[in-house]
Amino acid sequence: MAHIALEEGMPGITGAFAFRPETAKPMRELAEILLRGESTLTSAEREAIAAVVSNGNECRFCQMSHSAAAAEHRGGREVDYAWIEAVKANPESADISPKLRALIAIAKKVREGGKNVTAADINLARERGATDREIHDTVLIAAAFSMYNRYVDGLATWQPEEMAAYKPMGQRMAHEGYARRAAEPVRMGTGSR
Amino acid sequence: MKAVEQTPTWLPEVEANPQPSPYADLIRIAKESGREHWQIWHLFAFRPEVTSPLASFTEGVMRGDAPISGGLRELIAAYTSWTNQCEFCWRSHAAIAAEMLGSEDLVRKVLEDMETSPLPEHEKALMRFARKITKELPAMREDDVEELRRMGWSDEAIYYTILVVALFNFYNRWVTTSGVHPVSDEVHRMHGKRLAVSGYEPKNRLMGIKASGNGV
Repeated sequence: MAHIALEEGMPGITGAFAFRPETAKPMRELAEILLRGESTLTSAEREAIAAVVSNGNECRFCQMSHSAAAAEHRGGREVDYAWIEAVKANPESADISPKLRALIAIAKKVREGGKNVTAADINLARERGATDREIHDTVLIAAAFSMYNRYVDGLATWQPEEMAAYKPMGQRMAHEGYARRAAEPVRMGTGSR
Repeated sequence: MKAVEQTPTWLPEVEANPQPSPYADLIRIAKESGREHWQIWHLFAFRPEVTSPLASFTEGVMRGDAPISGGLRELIAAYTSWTNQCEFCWRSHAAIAAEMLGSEDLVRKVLEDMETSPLPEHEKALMRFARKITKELPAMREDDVEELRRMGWSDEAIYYTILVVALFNFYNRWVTTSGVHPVSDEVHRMHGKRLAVSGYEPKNRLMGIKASGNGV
């Protein structure tokens, strides 16, 4: 059960959103722009950054749903789910571009604390072809998930454990986006946490 | 009037490319009047399509109708930012909290040593909760919420506390990693007074500044 009186049967952030729709709308819009808006980073890359940060913060709902979204952006095959698991487990050995590897290193430090990012981290990303816009987007996503993770875990929302529960969620997040569900939140039956 | 020197942020391309927005106007007005500007405006002005919902969200979280006062929410924001060592953020929100709560001394004491500060015990409990979400997120338990309930806080009050703390864990990272520097105490105090009245919608901030007639 969630710590506060949220409606049962709505997993993770959807339950928290339904509690106060007026604060949910701008949070959804922000996620939509950061993860699906126009950018030179692909949505799969941006979702991977979100998943890595959420994984570091041990927010299960956030990390699993955004892992699923990252995989679904790449086609949703088993190999795509294996890819995002590898990125979370070890970005150094995962099959990603050197640029994304440098950006993920920045995102991980942003998660730990804004003061941890050094000029050397930024320069490495630049050397590997990242623009200031891409660095800024990475910082924004990592900072935003440092917020979403606290919102979800501070409220202790109900969070399914099996990846299978997250696949349809990831499909909707990847292909329909974040701004759509204001009127009709997703329901997954009641469950205990 | 001569422009003041400010140490640049760490993202020069971001700083050099403000898009048309109230924030670009705020920066221009500040520069024209020879005063320091808040460098967070560069971050807001760079991508208005991202930051416009963010400003509305901030207004809702910090000023929306809630069972914790706006002044106390500002104090939670300052304390969270202090915990994350984000100097621009804690100075900014300490100034706003001081204005709204009517005491710079109380705010300073809360930041320097919250436990011995004269803050009422039930408000100290909110600060402890804020610190734990910020520093020990995976260790959050229902007991933490139960403790706040025992102190008389409603679920809605707890909800808003979490929102404020989460939001400032975002801002602290965005601001610090982008290399946003604090301004002088005088300018932080001035913006504290202005923001206490105008809130966070950029149009209101701009209107307040124009009405005051003496630049940013």
